Amino acid sequence: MRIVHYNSNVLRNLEVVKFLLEMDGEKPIYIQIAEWLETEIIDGTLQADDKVYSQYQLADLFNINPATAGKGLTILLDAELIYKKRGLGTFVTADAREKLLAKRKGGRLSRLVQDLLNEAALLGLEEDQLIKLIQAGRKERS
Amino acid sequence: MFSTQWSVNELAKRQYLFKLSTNGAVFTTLIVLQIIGTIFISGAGSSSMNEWEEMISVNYTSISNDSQVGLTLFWALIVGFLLTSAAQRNESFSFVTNRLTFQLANFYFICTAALLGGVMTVLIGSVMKIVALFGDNVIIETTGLLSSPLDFFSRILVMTAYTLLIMMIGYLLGTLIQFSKLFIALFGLIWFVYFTFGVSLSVGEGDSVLYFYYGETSILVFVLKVVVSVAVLFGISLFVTNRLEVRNP
Amino acid sequence: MSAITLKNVSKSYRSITVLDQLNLEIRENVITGLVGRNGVGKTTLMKMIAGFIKESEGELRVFGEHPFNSLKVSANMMFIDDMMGFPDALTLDDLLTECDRFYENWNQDLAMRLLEYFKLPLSLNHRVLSKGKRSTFNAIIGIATRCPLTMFDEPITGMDAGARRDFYRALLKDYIAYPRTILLSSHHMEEMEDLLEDILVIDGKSISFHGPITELQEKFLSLQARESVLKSYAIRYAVVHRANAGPMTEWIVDNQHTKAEVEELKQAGIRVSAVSASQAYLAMTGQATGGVDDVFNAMERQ
Repeated sequence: MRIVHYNSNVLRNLEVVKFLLEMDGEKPIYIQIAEWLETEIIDGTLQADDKVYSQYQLADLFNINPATAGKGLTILLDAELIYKKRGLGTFVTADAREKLLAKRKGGRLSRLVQDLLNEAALLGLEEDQLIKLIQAGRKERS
Repeated sequence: MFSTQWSVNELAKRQYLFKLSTNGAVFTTLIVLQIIGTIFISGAGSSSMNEWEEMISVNYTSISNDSQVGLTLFWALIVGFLLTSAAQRNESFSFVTNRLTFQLANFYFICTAALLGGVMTVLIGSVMKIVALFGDNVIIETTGLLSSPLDFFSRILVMTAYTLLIMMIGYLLGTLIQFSKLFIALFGLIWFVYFTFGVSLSVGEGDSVLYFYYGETSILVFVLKVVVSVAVLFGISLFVTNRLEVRNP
Repeated sequence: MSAITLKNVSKSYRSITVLDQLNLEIRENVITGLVGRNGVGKTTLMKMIAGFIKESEGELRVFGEHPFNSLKVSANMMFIDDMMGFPDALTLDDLLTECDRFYENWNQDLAMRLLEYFKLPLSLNHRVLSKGKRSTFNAIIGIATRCPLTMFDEPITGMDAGARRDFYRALLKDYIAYPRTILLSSHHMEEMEDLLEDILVIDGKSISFHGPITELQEKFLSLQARESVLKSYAIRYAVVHRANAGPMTEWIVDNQHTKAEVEELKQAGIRVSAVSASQAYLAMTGQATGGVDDVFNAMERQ
């Protein structure tokens, strides 16, 4: 006999979620939604104290189960990027944008740098060659 | 959470209405069968001619709706049998039902079909008389709605009762076969034994199972016998079907 | 609150056991995907829940009722599959009328609009519909009855890609508006996974996973690199599945890594990524591509 324990506690997986958030490649859909909402806050589409999409709106928008959409919102709630007003919905916290900018600089960008270094090591590039590449890239953009 | 709560009666009624709308062919089959039967089989009644030495000749023709009765009973057996088919069951179980309401709906349907069979068969007799009149005949002996209404209605009652009985027998046979295919072999065996030894065993009329019904002279007792038989047949069907698994090829 | 409860439920036909000692609680108003390889008893489980067939052992409850012969369960439950029997004598229009007769929450307007959208003329007979159209019609019935418990067994059989996408979309939209307990089985998990909240994996007569679909997804990681690289760096992880795609080898491993371990793998040139729920399911049930290669490899060696 086999008993399968059912565990619907989202928070139990917080460690896993954090880990998946930092991963490259294809991400679980709720993480994509969390990132999409973060981008909306960073680029100013969602301002401080703006109402955030409900989980049902997100479900409809992304064509996914409302519970999955809710999980995306939970990530932002846990990071205190959004807050709940009872009976009214969720709203963007005042310092959400600052938090996100800091996080992306410290987290995502440094991870991208790690990836860059990994690739450079694979190709046998020296540090000065790498810096030249970055400089060339920046020149092209401007 | 659950919102809908039906009573057995209400649902049996709805399943019955569903049965009526899906099985219209059952009734048209009977009508077509009877029309064909009347035209081809009983067109020729039994005739006899008596001639005297003189110039008078009398032509007796007796017409009867015996063959129509036979056709209706044959139809009843088939309809009863077909009602137990897997297709019929699956159709019912595509909608709301349990085994009890499914059986009750079938029973209501059988009653309706039997009544129609009874009425039609008796009425065909009247039609035949009208047809005979067109043939320049004089009808001497008859019992019709106007001359003896009680007799007319009791004939409908008796015909309906027979149709009902035969239909329920077909229904039970079908139910048993649906329950286990072994019953096909059993019925085949019974059939064989009956026709090999059974006929010779029954000496007098009183021994026959059928005599139990047609030998009855009181209409009330006859009806009672049929009702009890039908109840027993239906009870067995109900018992057998109550554990039947459905939509399970 | 659970809509469906199974305690040690088994089902067998004579000596053949189809489902063995299942313990299960399906949550109310949740869309649960029911997956498993052919013949593992998915349909049998659904038919038991529907009350069509009777469990051989154990205790089965649907909204607190024993479903076999329960009018209450039948009135509040819809079971859709491609074997659904509808009378030959009735047109699609007549069938909608019958649904209205039997189901309290039936929405005629929704059904009519969906039939029109899917180009199913009301005057047609169910029997003359093509396989895909028939599945579409049955699926529409399943949505428009809005039963508190709605079960779809392989509803997309024969449907083209557009119809499948539209069906899942219609189901989701109606579910958002009218939440209910939905059980959905399909062999094409990748098409339905976004729709699901929970997933129930049946494997070898019993349950091998039941929980939120995101949890199934998080159970595994995909590692991609040359086989020699994987063998020297990732050998210590429990590999559930191996596959070769060109010169690259993919291992799907249990997700029990520390951050440092992942960094180490990345530095070794291994691509670490998340798996989709359907990949996780396929790996778990040994259906991921590559398994059948072994058969041919074995024959060549002889």
